[in-house]
Amino acid sequence: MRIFWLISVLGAVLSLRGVFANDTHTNNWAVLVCTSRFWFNYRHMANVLSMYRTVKRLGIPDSQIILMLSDDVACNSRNLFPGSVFNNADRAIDLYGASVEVDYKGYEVTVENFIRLLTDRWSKDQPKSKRLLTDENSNIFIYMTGHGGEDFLKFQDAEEISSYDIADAFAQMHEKKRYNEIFFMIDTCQANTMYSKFYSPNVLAVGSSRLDESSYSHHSDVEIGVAVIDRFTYYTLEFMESIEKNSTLTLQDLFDSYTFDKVHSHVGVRTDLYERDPSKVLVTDFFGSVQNIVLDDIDQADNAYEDSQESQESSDLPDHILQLAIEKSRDEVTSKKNESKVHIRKATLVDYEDSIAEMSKVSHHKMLLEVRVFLIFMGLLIVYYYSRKR
Amino acid sequence: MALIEKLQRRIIDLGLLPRLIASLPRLSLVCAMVGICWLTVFIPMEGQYRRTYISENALMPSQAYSYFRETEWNILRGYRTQVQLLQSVGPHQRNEEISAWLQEFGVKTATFVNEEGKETLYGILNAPRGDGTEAMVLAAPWFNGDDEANIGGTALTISLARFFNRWPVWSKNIILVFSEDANATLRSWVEAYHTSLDLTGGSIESAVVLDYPGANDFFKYVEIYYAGLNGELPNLDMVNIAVHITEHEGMKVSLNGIPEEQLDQDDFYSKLKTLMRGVKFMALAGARKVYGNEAFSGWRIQSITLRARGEEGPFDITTFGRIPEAIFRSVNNLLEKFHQSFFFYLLLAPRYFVSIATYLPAAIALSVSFTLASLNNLLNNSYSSASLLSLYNIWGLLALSVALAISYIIAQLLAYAQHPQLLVLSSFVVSFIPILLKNVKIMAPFAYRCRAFAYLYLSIILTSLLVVNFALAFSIGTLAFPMTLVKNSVTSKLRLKNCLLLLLSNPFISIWIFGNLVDDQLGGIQMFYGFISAWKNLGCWTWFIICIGWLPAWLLVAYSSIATSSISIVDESQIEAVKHKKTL
Amino acid sequence: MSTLGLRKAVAIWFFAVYVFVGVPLWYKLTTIYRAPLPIEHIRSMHENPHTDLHLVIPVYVRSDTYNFPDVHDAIQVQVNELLKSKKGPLTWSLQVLPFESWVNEESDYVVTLALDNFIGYTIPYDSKETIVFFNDESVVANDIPFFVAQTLIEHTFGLEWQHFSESKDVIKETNNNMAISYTPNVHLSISLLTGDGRPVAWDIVPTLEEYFTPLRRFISPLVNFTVDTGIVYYNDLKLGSLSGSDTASWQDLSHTVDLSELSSMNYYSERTVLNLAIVFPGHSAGNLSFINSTSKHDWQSFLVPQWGVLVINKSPLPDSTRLTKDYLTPIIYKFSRELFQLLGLATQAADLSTPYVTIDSFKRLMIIRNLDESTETLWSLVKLVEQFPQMAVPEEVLVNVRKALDLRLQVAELINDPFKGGDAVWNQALLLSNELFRVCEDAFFHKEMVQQNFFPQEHKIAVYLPLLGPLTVIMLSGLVNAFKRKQKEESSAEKDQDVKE
Repeated sequence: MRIFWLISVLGAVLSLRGVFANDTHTNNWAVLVCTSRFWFNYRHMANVLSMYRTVKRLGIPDSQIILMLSDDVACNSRNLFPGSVFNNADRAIDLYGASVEVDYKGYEVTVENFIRLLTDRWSKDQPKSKRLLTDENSNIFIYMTGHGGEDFLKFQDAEEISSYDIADAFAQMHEKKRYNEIFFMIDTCQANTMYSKFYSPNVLAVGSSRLDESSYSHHSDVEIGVAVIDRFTYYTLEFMESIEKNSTLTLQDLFDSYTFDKVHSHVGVRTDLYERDPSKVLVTDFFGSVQNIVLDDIDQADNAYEDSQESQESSDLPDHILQLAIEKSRDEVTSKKNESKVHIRKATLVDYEDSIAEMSKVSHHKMLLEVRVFLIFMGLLIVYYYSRKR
Repeated sequence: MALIEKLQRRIIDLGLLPRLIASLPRLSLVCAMVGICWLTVFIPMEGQYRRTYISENALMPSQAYSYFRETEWNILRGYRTQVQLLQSVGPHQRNEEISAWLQEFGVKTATFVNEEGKETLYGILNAPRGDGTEAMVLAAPWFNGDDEANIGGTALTISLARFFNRWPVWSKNIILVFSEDANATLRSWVEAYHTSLDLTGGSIESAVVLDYPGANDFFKYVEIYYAGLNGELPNLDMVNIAVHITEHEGMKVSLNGIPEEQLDQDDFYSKLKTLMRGVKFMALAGARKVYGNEAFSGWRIQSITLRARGEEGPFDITTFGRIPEAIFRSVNNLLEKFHQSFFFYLLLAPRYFVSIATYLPAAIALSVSFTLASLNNLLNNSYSSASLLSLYNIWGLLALSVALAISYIIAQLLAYAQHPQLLVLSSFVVSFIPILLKNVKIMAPFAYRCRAFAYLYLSIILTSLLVVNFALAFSIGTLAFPMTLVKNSVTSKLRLKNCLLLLLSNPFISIWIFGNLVDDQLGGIQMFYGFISAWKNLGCWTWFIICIGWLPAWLLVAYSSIATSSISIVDESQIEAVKHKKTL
Repeated sequence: MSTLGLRKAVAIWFFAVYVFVGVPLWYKLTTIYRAPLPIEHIRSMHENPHTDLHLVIPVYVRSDTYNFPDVHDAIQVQVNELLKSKKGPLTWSLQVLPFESWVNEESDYVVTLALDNFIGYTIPYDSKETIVFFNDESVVANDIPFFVAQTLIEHTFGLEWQHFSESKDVIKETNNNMAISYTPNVHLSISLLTGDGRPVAWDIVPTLEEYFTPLRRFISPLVNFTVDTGIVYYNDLKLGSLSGSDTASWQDLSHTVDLSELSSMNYYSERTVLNLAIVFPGHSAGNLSFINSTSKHDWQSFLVPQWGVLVINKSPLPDSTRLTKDYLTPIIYKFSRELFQLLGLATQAADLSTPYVTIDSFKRLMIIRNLDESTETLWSLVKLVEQFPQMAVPEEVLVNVRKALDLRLQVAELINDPFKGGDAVWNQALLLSNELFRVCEDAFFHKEMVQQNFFPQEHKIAVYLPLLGPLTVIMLSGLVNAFKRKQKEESSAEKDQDVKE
């Protein structure tokens, strides 16, 4: 049954591919997830914070980054450098400064919240800073790290997310046109299995190790006493340090920089769902936020303003929208107010009727259930009396 | 179903069952042999043991650099000199002085006086950034298990405390304990900590006891003791990180008191030796010299003792100090109690171990051999057809309870009035019952039944003891085995044989012989004093298990070795059948 | 013996309760509630999106000089011809009616035929009126209806012509990179930034009140703006780094400017935020060479797609400045024009030459767009519901879907009516279609429709088998035994009888 739906969705999706193959994006988002907790998983926290620093440096604002950290290693009592997180033994860069905004922390990092985040299914009171408010022109960079296995990723020691869940979430995002392109990067053991089940278009994925392969940490810091960065992320960062906002390096360059000698595991890339050629995609398309700023040099404004300055009263032929608006507002303030009041009243009336209809239906349901239970009870009583008589 | 029927038919055809029953005594012997050989021959062979590994990923031993080095040496020497000077003053003054030193760098101190009037000074270093719900103990008794003044150990503890105080990485509190000795005083402190003390630091996660006698700066190698009371062992991870850290710092590790010359050997005999010494230490824990880690048993505290041995050597006292530093750093990383690695294991070398699944068959085989012996006495005689509720069985049970009562009285008596010599003598005398009471006769079925119950009882005791205290179960099983060979004393030859067997399998005589042969510390009567004082001071049950588990069985067997007269027994079921035929 | 009948009855009764009451109850209580959505209706709506829509706009014709009694019929015929010639995604038309006295010139479309010596048209800046000039020759040649029709369709209602008849897909055409996608509520964040900490004040509030508030009121039927203003110190959007080099030009702005401090969208409840940022470099950075100042003002403005407008000043602020209305008003003027670009009402090349008409057409465009987007959302909802059979579909979703369909009918009714026109109608229709869009989004993004792979069918079996398995087995074996016993006893009773006999 699942395959049938898969095929039908795939068919529907393929038919729509032509329409949504949008090469241009206008905003960039990043979702950075660290799924493991405890002190000895320091390196996962450092991985994610390094990525956070990179995307911020290249211009993505905090309001468009969702950072999920499942544990707080900076303030862990075992941290010899309280308040700091380092990703290198030379401790040159402190990743945890004053401007780190963690959106999901501690036990809020759960599978359910992650899926809800991707599909934007929240209750009404979820704050905007914790939602992924993307649209069809958004490029999303999703980075996940932690402990993983075949087709699953462990969240917080107690639950797992399967690759099917992420694939389904992406499908829902595609349905609602919530992304232009997604770049999915994952650094765990057997990471490549996590992207093997994707079926939505315009998703580019890279994972750090194959099936039955582990991903390794790079080095430890003898003062802190734990490993501070993973190999795959270390070499990704090495590449990223050479990128500025105006860089012309492409994603293919990034993929080529991973070798088995460096990473000690086979890095996998999935490009079949992605329309563009990675060698033509700039790294800043996903990691940075580059705006196409346009100069507006039409100087009509000056004339209009000066004209209005010269004539105290409005001329009989205004040619600037502001003049028009000012004129109109002088004439028609009161009538507009009345109109909108009527509309508001009408809208509320409609709502009220609906809610009444709802409530009656619900109570109807409940009543049926009670009747049934009562009937069963009566039946059992009858049996009991009958047997007693005999 | 048909398959089982076929099998059953085959079995009946072959007469397997009667043959099995007939060969029960032999089977029992074979089982016992298998059990003993399993432990001594099979396990130390290549391939049967595993290399140790750290199960809990969070521990990460020696990943952080240890800084207790030359910078601390002078401070340490200073404290050591002062401690040496304090050797001459009384304990109370000594504790006050040291308490003042500790308070200088922020340790909260208190003194605990136990029932015997001995003082224990302890202090708590609160973790500045931790949540203070758990603690690690660093203990240094004033007089170690060998009754030597633990000068180096106590100085090291004080300077380590001062060193730890300057580090902000602790997530657990650190408790320093200076008890008078490593024995009853420390144990009473541990008990008081968990019950009545006011100044506490949370639940204790692990304990390291430092033993560095003498004022020498240098030492040769490190001995690690881990066997706790009543068969309790620290989590294997704890021992593994201690071994790992010690070897990482360059020192050699000796387990279970293996002398230095044999440390480098890595063959079958060295492994066997380490293994058997381990079993011995576990069985005799409490009776032997107590080095400190035994005091923490029973409260789920993973405790080990580190002893620095040797006078000249390449390592200095600060190297020794790095071991507890790194252990604490490691245990500090934990969020949960030790739970990943084994709690029941046997170490064959600092880096080799076997887990319970591998060594348990030894004790199981011994216990099974007793059961088989019991079955043998039940079935392999003419009285096997007696019904379950016949007189003989009831009498047998009664005899068992009487024996139990007697053993209990003996145990309590000796606990208070300690005259072990009397005990050994009376055991000796009782062993000669078959010869002495030549003319008294008891009925044969009683003899068989008594023996059956005795062996069954001992088998139950051993089975219950297997997992919890393997060493004790194994030792008792091995030493008590001769009593299964006792047969009814019908001829004088048999009577002599029985005497000998009774002698060999008497608890006290056997332990006395065993102590003299095997252990240098507990020669002769010392063993009994050891057990009894362990029971009184440390809460070690070995004495009671020997008395209440082993002794009743032996008493019953002794009773059954009195000369027997055979009687004929009426088969009640046959009478029923005859009656029925008559009515029909 | 005699209780056998009772035992049988009890066994049967237990079995009956188990099967006829228990099983349906268990089934009812454990099935995931999936509200029955009108799937077929939505599917047909998706496949034929505009079948029920026929947008009609009434237009009133009057003639100044000559009196043409049937000109409106003739124009109607021409309009229909012209519209038929292009088959676009949406059928729409004009209802050409003669001018009556009750027609409101401010809110309805009026075509005035004026005699002149050339053929042409004009749409004045400040009204919806179309003035078509004709000359006598055209009267004779009877060109006027055609000309009027052409003017109306291709110029007055040019936007509708372009989007409803000429393009393939209404939604795609309305998207471009500069403009935000339409939402009825937009927040505007106006900030003044300076690179150092010298105190500065500005008269933004009176400026806005005088010039911008009327604009907001003017455009409020289409888009509602909420505005906030603020001053940010020590932030020059990293423009200082460009001040040193000589070769910097405004094209380098894309890679240098750092707008992350200003992206305050999370502080406001509206989904979309547009910004106006007025930047002064810090004293340490000095003058910005790439800004070409004119005689009138010292700044240049830049459009950032889907974000807002950057007004960058050449020189730093002197100490303790107060930015007065004189300084701010040209900025507001320029910004208001750029705002229309950002809303999608104008493009850079073409300016807003006929604001009333354009805004009105835009309203209609957005109504249709809302209807289409809502259909798409409902269709996505249906696909989702069908793709995940394990996902619960709560009652609220069904309520929202029904409300949505109802609203759609209302909107369609409003726009299809040939005699309903004028501002009130279009505003109402836009309001309802915005509501429709919102309701559909609510239905799709309901928080209970989270499908996780964690509860597969096998789990149900694993949970229920230990509980119900033994019960069932006992039940059935009891039943079977009760009946078997009867057979046995019957047979033994027979045997007894035989023996006796």
